[in-house]
Amino acid sequence: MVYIILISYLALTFWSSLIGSKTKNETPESYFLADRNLGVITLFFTLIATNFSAFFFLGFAGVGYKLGYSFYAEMAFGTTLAALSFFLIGNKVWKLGKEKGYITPIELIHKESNNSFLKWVYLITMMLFTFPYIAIQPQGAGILLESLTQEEISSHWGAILLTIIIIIYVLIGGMKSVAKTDVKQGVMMIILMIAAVFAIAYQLGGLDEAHQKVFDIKPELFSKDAGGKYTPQKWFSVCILWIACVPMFPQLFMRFFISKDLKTFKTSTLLYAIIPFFLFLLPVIIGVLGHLSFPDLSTKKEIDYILPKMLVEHTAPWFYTLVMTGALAAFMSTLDSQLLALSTITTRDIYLPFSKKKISLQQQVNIGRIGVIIFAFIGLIIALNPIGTIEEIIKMAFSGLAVLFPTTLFVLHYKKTNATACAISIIVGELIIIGMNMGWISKESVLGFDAVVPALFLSTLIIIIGSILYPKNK
Amino acid sequence: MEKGKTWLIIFSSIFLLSQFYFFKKDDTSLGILGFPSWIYSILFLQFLLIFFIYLFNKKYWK
Repeated sequence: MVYIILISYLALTFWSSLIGSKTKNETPESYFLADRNLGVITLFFTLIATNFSAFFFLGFAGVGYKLGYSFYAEMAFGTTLAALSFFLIGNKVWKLGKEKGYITPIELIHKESNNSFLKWVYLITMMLFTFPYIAIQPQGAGILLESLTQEEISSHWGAILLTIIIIIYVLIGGMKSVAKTDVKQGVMMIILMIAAVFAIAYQLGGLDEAHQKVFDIKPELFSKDAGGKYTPQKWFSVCILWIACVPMFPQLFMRFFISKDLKTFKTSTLLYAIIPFFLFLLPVIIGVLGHLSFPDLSTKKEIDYILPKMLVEHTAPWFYTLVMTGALAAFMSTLDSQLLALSTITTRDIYLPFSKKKISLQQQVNIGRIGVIIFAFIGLIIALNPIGTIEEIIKMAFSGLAVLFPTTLFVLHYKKTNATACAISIIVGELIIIGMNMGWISKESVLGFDAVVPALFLSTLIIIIGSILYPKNK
Repeated sequence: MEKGKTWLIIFSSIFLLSQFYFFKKDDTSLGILGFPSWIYSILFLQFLLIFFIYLFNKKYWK
């Protein structure tokens, strides 16, 4: 049964990518940006499938088990705030992309600021902090496949197998394939998660009764501060983090270029703002109810697997396999977009400027394809030799990308922005992020806030002072 | 520019209001469907935010 469902899912994925590739991909705009022609539904699903990785399936339930409903409040409100920053950045990015033909975030920042130093600082930062995030996708997918096949496929082979599948369908059709598969994967994620909550709550006697039972044994899961774990500084830090980091993921940033018109972009973004309030609640419910069936989980791995554990305990094997395939879809839809984004950046922003001879548009597409293969294998190598836990990697990568936000905002909206000040602001911001993560700067010295708050504060201040003292001459 | 400032004030106010709600100590009690009752005030805030994002989208970005 497991193999039938898995093979059916993979066949469906290939079929979608083949549909996506039916039209020719002979130009970079076609291969990398799906001809800038996506409609509302496709754009909306590609936004959510790309952004909501497997952390949404497994991680949310796990953290829900640990912290309860306060985690839902953080994630849902934070993601809606991120939609606001999509408007602040995305509208302008779409317009400039259409007018001037930009394909990557780096191209846009480079040309709009007219500064090569800023280009390289921005590019290195974006790539450096995206790589670890790429690596956790095959890492998680491998573990999931191992658990699904009851260790018949090891996590290492699972990671390799899924990476190869993703490479094939990204190579076939580029952004069009990725977007088409994202729609299927997004729909699958949503339907299966709703079904999982209904099935589990039904088995536990309904939501009302199940909640009351958990409340009797663990009331702190229902408190707003998760039993003292959420301080005011923590709330502030996470809200700021989501506003600044989400639009800076290269795979998300590039989606600002691909809508067919501004109205499409606005409608998709509005839908993106609405969806978290109900979607994010679902895995957290399963995590909280997990205390009824598994009250004493203590290790991180056990807690991260509360969702599969609950499904095994309360639903039929075929249903469990189906929902876990949905989690696999979440992994794959994030990884394919990350690979495509990084390979696009490599082709357009690294290879082209250094290439002495003029290369054709078709050659650019082919270089992009080679980039997909190389980055997939680098991600795989890191995944097979992990540099930290998934949570540690995510924390560092997200904060690192958030530091690019003030620069992007100022370059897009303030004509007198000093580009050198922007570059310095990124370097200083990243030093603070690294310093706090390595323990060189204590949390107490920044009043208990997470690294992202002092980093963004100082970065913004540097840009403002630099641009007032040395405004860019237009 | 004046219009831009107004929107900045609106969104900053919603953000600060959300922080106030998050900071505020509440008695933990269960509401509809057994969810904690404070979750409904967060949902209200979220709807408020979405509503203003909708207006911002309609009136400011043309």
